[in-house]
Amino acid sequence: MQKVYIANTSCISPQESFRTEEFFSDWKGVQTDTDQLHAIEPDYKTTITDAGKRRRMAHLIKMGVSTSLDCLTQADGTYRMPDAIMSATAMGGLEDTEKFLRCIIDNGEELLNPSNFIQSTGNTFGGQTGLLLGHHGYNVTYAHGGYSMESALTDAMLQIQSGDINNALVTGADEITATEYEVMRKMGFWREGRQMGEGSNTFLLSNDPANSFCELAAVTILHDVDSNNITEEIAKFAENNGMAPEDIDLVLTGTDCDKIADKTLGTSNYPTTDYKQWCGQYGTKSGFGLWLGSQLLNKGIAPKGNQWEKRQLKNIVVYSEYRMNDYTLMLLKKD
Amino acid sequence: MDNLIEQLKQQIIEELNLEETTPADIDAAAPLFGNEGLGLDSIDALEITMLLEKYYGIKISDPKQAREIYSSINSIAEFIKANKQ
Repeated sequence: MQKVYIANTSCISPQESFRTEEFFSDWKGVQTDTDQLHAIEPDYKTTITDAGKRRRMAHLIKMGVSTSLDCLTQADGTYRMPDAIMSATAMGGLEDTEKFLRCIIDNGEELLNPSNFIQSTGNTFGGQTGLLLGHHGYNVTYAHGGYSMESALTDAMLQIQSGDINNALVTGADEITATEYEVMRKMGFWREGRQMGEGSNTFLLSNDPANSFCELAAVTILHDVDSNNITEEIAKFAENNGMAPEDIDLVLTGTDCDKIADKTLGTSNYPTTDYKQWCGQYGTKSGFGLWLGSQLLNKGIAPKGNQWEKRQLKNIVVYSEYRMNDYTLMLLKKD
Repeated sequence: MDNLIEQLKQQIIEELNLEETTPADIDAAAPLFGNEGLGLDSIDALEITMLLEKYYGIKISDPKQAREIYSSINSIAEFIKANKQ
């Protein structure tokens, strides 16, 4: 079976992560006292140069298209054409959805703005990326809640592993809106001291190991897991992929409100680092964990500020948990 | 009439999200659609139709009529002046 490698990445997050190494200089990250971690956005005039196309794009689409195009940018400034485009979003274009719904209420279901409707669907940033590239191949969006990112990655991996395609562009993105925050606050979702986050994470997956960041060896989605058994699940995941549990050098944890899982992982023998402290909570946040893991392996560094920061990392597991329902594991390897 | 033209320019910039355009950039006599002038498209035409109904109470249902009215800011302003309710 063909192995899958991460050939390139791009990330817009609440940290200095887009076209800069700043985040890795101090590891403190940009923090805020509020319970919202907003993305640090680039000047979109430099990432989406066509003003006519840019003007209809909402926040989410600009983020998704920007990381997608950035990930494909070659040394001469032209874009590499991927064989396939897979996109992931838990909530889709919320900003446009809210504007459209507001318009329905305010205008008595008449005089509805077509742009907001067109741009509100989850597949818009994947579609816009395809249009800007002139891409006529496979282009699919996964809107599968807390495991949208993993679903898109699985699709890309299966097609590369089976030899159907040589490479795929995979982007996961979600945005914060004031209304979503307020609705979820009223539902009690933010009471646990969690910070809401947003961002866009893109990966160019390829069957070519040359100049790759690392291997994306496995992605799995777990259902009905007992939180007390999280460490056993990680051990089983390692064994299923031909490794001993002690071969795992780092677990990047995206723990949420599952206190049992937090405690179980915290007291396990696995070296752990919480990536959600930097990106916040959102549907496709495991993309940030994957971006961070691939960066660590590519740079040959470990997160600062813990006892294993001098450790040589070869195998990283990215763990994700979302609303105590969706648990996912991804394995990154670097020889 | 001049006030109406300036008001229309501002409303079109806001409703069509022409974020890098100011009223001074728009030539009221220039074509709104196609490669010249503002270079607007068919979705913009739909939004201008909604704009006219929302702000001026004017309904345009005949596409042939719309093509003539939407040829420039000046022609839209003249139509509003003649038909505003």
